[in-house]
Amino acid sequence: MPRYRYDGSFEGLLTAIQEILARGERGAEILGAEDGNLPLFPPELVATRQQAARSLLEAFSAYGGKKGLRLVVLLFLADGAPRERLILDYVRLTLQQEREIGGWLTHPVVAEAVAVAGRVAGEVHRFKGLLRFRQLADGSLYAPFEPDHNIAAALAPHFARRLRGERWLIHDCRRGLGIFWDGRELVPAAVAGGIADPELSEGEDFFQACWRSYHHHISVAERRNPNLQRHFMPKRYWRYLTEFNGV
Amino acid sequence: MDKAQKLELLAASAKYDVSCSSSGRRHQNPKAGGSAAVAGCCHSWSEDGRCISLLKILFSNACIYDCAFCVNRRSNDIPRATFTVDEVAELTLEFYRRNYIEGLFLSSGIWRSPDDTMECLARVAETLRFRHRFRGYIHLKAIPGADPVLIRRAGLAADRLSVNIELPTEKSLLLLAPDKNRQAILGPMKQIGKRIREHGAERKKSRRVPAFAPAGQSTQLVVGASPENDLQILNLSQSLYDRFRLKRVYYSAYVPVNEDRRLPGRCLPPVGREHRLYQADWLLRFYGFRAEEILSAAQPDLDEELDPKTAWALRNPAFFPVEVNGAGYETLLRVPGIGVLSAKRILAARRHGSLDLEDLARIGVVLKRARYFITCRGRFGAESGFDQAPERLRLELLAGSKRGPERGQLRLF
Repeated sequence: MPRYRYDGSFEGLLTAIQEILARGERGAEILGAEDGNLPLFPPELVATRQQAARSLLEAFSAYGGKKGLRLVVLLFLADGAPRERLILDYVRLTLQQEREIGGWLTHPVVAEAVAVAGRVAGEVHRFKGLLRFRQLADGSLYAPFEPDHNIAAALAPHFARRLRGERWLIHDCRRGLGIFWDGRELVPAAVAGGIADPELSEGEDFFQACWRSYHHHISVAERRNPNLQRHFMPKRYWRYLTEFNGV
Repeated sequence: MDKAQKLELLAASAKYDVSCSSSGRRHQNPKAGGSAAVAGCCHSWSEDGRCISLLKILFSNACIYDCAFCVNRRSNDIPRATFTVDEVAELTLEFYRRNYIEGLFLSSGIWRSPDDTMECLARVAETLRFRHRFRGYIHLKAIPGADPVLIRRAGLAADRLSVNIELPTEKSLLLLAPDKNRQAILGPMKQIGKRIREHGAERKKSRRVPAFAPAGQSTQLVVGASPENDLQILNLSQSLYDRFRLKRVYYSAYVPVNEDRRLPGRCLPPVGREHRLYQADWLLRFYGFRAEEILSAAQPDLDEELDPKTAWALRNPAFFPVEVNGAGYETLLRVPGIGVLSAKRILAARRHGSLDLEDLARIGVVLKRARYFITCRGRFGAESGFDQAPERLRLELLAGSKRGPERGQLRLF
């Protein structure tokens, strides 16, 4: 079974897929950059070629359209799923069928891809609400979080619209990834893991306390239902939520 | 009293208001920044499991009215507080900046007079919108009896307006909320509905025309404080959707907060009934049902054990079985257990080939109830299909649901 390795970039993955499709290989496997355990026969490292990536993307979106493109990008952000295989299979099936296949949910390839992409999209939507900013002494805003999937880049444009006039940093503490907004453009940057402990602005403690108090007092005691609360807001997210004394 | 104390008090006073939705706003992309998602966005959930999307507070709980069911009524001996316009604006902006909320939902007790109150609410919205260029969501209560000019000002600054209808009938209103009357409630509703239509039509011609409550209007009523049956309530909702084109009617299970001989005594909030009403409401708005299909004079209350669509299906055996490979969208929506999402998935998947029962399960259609009401390529979904007597089918459906009588706030989706 032929195996390939790529540099971990989206373009790198597309290059590898292009290579596999050009050779017409069945059962080929693509390993991510992070897949450490190299087998006895090391996989072939595919050098990233922008041209190959672009031409595959064009061929794919001619059939898959915007919908297909969005799905593939979401798959690429997925964590804990065989994203390389999912993308390879989905792209190949789309090119074979010469049509958009997102609705073909009875096909196992489509079903799995749509399910995984749905989980990623769901988390992006979730964090549009659950991300919490705190104001630092210099007036900028800082939002640490630990999403299941690698969604910081997918989330940032939403906050670029919403907090256009501010300067802010979204920090994925687990992946050591930060995205800055300086008021004009989004700048991705490596930010060492763990939460920074920066000096907060003067009013920050007050408004955090107000939010916690509000959060408590808006609840109707007669209708207490913590299970439902946790259903929408799983415990694993609580660490960074201001309302639960989050950091 | 300082800001933090006021917030505590005026949030606790606002908690019985149900609406917290931030949906329906068209995307805007102003230079000043800020946006609210079209589909709405929940930011947190409180301990009762309800979503927190907006900063939901009263401007004042110093109310001159004396409504029997309300915690803020004049005759209650409770601490009173009133915000200033700038205090509300500051809290909203600071909460919004930190991504705690999607915007503001401002209501109020009747402070001094309806006009004084409405004027304050409008000024808060204007301060946020025009002085601070706030682009988040603003939902204001329109105060019954306020000057139409003030309500107009509110609508030009807010995304959504709502007038609470409070109780399903004039008679109950007279008994429990003697300071309010039906006409004073329906008047502003009519006015708001008319303006939304006019501005909407004008804006299609010219973008210069300012938007008026672009996210529409809603209302809410208390369920269980007065003797009306579900049929009366659903008929009311239906006519509100038809006549005033309301976006939402909210139902609030009555929580006893006052001792009052006009009210039912100590009781748990009827959340099960509230849930069934919401299900029926969904049938009106998204499933093409009419109130008279769901309930009738012979059956004026919703079934506590079965959801309203399943109950309808059992009364209408001639409609079934539905062939999933041939039925249109509206027909699929009438099958118990098949919702908007499943119906769309079925239509999409059908383009790639015909479906059998396993296919349905694979694409995520929940078959627990649906299988009794469908055929796939002519084959019944359940071994004992819809040919059996409705009473037996009812028992089988009930046995299939593991949960007993439902308690607490329930999920809608």
